[in-house]
Amino acid sequence: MHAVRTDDPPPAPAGPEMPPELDDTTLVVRAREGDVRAFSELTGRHQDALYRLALRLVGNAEDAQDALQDSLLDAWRRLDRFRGDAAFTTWAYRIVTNRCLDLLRRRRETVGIEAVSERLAAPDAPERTAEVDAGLAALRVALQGLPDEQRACFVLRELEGLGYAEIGEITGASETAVRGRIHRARQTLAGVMRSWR
Amino acid sequence: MEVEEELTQIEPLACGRDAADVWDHAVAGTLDEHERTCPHCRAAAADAAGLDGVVHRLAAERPIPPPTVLDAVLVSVRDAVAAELRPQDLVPLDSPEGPARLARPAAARVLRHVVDRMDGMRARSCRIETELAKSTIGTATADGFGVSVAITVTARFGVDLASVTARVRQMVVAAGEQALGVPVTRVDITVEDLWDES
Amino acid sequence: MSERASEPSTPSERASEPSRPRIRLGDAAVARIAAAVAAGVPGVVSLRPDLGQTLLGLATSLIGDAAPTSGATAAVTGDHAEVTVTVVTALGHNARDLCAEVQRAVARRLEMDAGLTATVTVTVADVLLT
Repeated sequence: MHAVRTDDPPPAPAGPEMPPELDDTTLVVRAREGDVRAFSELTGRHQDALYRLALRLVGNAEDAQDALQDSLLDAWRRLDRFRGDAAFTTWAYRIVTNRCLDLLRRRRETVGIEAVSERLAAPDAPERTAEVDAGLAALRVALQGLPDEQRACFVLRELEGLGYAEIGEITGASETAVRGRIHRARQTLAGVMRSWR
Repeated sequence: MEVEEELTQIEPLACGRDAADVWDHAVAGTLDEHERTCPHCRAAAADAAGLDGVVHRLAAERPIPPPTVLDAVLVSVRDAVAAELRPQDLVPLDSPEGPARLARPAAARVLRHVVDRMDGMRARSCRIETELAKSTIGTATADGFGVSVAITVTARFGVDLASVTARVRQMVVAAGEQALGVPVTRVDITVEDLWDES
Repeated sequence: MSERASEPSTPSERASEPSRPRIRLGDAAVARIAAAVAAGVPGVVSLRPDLGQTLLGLATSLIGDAAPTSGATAAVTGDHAEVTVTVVTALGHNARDLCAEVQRAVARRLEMDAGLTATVTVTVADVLLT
């Protein structure tokens, strides 16, 4: 039996498989209906930002990659529970943030927080001298020494540039609490930078 | 400890100013007269400036994940989709040679593709429901399976919605017949949103 | 795989059953034949592990080519075989007609090779757009 070709539609640019006009909502709806390629496009668009967040929360590449992978799989499974009114990025940020906080909590329970922060706070810790930009190295170390919730709010605001309202949605905290956490984080970090200067 | 943190307000500086406000002003370069002269505010502003520079350098870093992460995710997702194919995910086809069916997401993908190729329209949701229908093979007409299709789309500002949706309807019916091998008895099109060509 | 040759042993048997097939096939053998035949039908891009196999934990990764042998299942009782095949096709082929062609090709081969009458269920799991 011969193969039957579909009619070509009227002259429209036969573009790539994923036309650029597909906004996040369109991709989410398609992915929710089983379109894996739409999910691939959606995650491809946002994986850099999600990875960056994970890396700054957990402090090392390996854990961040695990967190990203688990978060994206989680996102796929929970797509039908995603309400279209929130932005996909906010929802995805929340999944990543929660997963990283869980990881940090589990890590703390096995390592012991005091030992870690003592080591990080030591003025001649090895992390200080490894980097060309020593100030950056000091900040990185100090960031990992912050309490988890403070670090999350600080990273989302100061490194990802999100607003207080969105951070509140992501962390499940009130805007007042978010503002307070960011301020306390700044105080701590400024103290570290002050003594380093 | 976290609970206590929630309840504490941001302590004001000794001069009475809100420390977080002073901080924000310092970073934005909008310190007022008092904040520029008061020793407490100046100390807070100095802290802010000292931190801000290095924070910017950290923010400028753009680490990216290795492609293996997304690859692994998509492998798992594709496996999950195949493994979870349930009976209701299958569209029956009228083969004279035995039971034949088409995965519903695959059928939806084909019909969305048809919509996407229209200038000025893009498909979102594509729901396909099986219906009993008369189907014609050669000169014989028989009771068989057909589908009704409900699509939501976005369209470009300025397109003639009536004519484009009419054309899309025709293309979906044609694709059902030619690509899927199933008669399309109905096509509902809802324009959910519009986009700007900017 | 249970495959055994069953030859009519006496000349009288051979004479009385000229069309009887000389081979009896087990489930796995029939499945492999069905998969190989289906993979050769124009319009079949690849096969996918059948849902039943997946449930048994025999599914392999779907990226790239699935081995033809994992694209079909079969259950043989007497002279009848229930066969399922799961295929992937691409735009430019009619899914229904493709199913019919796969069904015809598989049934024809099983009839010729093993004298089996087969009911072939075909599932088109995916339609590639490129």
